[in-house]
Amino acid sequence: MAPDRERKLWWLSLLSLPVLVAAAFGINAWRNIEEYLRRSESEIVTGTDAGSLDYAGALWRLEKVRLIGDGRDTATRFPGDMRLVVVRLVATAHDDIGERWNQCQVSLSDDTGRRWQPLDVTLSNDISRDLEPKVDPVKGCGITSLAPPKRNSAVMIEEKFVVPADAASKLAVRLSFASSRPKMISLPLGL
Amino acid sequence: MRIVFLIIMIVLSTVVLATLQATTPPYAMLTGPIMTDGRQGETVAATTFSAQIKQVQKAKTLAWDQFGRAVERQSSGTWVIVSAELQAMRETMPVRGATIIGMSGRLYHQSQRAQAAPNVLSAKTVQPGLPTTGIFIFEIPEEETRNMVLVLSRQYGPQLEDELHITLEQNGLVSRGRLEIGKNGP
Amino acid sequence: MLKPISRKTNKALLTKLLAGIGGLLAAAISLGYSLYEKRQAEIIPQVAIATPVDAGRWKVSLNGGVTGGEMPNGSHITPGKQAIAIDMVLENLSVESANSYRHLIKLQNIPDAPMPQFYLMRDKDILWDMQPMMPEVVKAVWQVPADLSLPKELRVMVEGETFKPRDNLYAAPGWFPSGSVAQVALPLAPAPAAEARP
Repeated sequence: MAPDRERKLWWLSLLSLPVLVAAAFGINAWRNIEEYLRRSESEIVTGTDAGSLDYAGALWRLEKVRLIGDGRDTATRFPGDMRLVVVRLVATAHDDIGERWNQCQVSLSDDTGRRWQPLDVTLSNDISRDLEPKVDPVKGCGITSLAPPKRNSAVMIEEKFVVPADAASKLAVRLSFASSRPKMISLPLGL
Repeated sequence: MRIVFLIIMIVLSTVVLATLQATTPPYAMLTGPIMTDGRQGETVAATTFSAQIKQVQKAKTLAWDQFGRAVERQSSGTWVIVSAELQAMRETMPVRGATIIGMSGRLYHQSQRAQAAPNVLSAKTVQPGLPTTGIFIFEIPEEETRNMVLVLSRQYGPQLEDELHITLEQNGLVSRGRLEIGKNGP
Repeated sequence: MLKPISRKTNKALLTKLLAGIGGLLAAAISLGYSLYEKRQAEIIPQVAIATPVDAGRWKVSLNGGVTGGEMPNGSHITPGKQAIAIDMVLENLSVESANSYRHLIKLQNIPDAPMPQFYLMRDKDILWDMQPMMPEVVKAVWQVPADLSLPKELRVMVEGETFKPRDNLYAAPGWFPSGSVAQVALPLAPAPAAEARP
């Protein structure tokens, strides 16, 4: 009786070994996968009001989109397929924002999943001065998020992107803050 | 009989374990770059970016204009200037890691003495859908300029990122005395 | 009743001893080896000026020391400080471009010397990476307080590095410091009068 039970226990322990190893690995990996998903942009906030989205304590809308480089907006023509897209967003705070606007990420994406990151601040400001020499350049999301608007006041954010001409009609602007991820907003540019 | 069996099992498991230990890839390789091979002239494509090497030139002296001043750089070896066209497939990215593996297998990173030259690709960002052309400049001893392989990546020491290995052509590599680099390349 | 119990205890003790002997042997061998390595006297060879010294990853030959003067790229010395510069020929002996020459040279008889700044004399500009097997004339500059009295002779230590194909942590190749390789006595001279700039 006793050796029989002992043998059964021995076999049971041996067989449960791969199961336990897989479980230990899986639990650890799952924690990391969950954290990675939480940090990435995976949930799109859908809007109720046409063109206006509620995100991170403010209502967001697309203010102005400019496509430069084909001679229609300004006389500038860029070589080849290159186009400059200038995107302006307006955010009206309906809550106290506090620290919620941190680590802003803005990008343009098309229907195939390609992503364009905005131009860096120095280049963006240089281009702003070329386009509108008499006006101060509108700040980008990174700088604006350091001083978010107070309740019931609005702020304008501008970012510039270099995109190929064939993707210009399928672009949408994506924005997210670290504290609100995985939620993000996506507004089609309508070019 | 049992003892013989036991000894055989011990020896066998020692051999198996030793083989497993000797053939485990090191940590650096497991978390290292994802390599794609190719040759000069064809478009070598990885998942995130691709490159096509157009021309390779050698020169003893490089010259360019910096803020209106003429700058010259000479080398105890030779300058190797590689013209390339880069394309990004997924996202905006820079291509800052450029190394040439010389004939002896030594790794020559791109020369920081010539980083301020116009049209250097490691200072540009490549946007998806927009091919970007430019040059990479290296400083290599003369005897290493045979069987060169160009290694490109987003940054030096890529970890689980794409790395292109492109074999550069042997023939037709002409050496000049002096190469002027203008705004649109050499 | 006593004898059987003591025999059992003896056997148990013997088994425990045999089981632990492997671990004890390993510890003893490791200790003995590290003691043996330390036992060899630490004599650092004295090397003459302008003789190449093989420091593992770098080959350096020190040519001379000067004080004062301007930086090779024209920038001025910080007010309140004076400059000590050593001229040398530096070569990268490893397989990859590297810029870790900052720890190669140590000044023995200057207290609290800061990190030196290296200049490539071919360009008269700051030195970045050094390519393998391409020796260059290089100047290393230390900025020390101006009121420090400088010795007539600089005693310089050259630090060596050894290559480990698999290190102890990641099994990755790397260069690790291996102690001083050579000692050089450099006479210190004031800088020659600056050439007239065109």
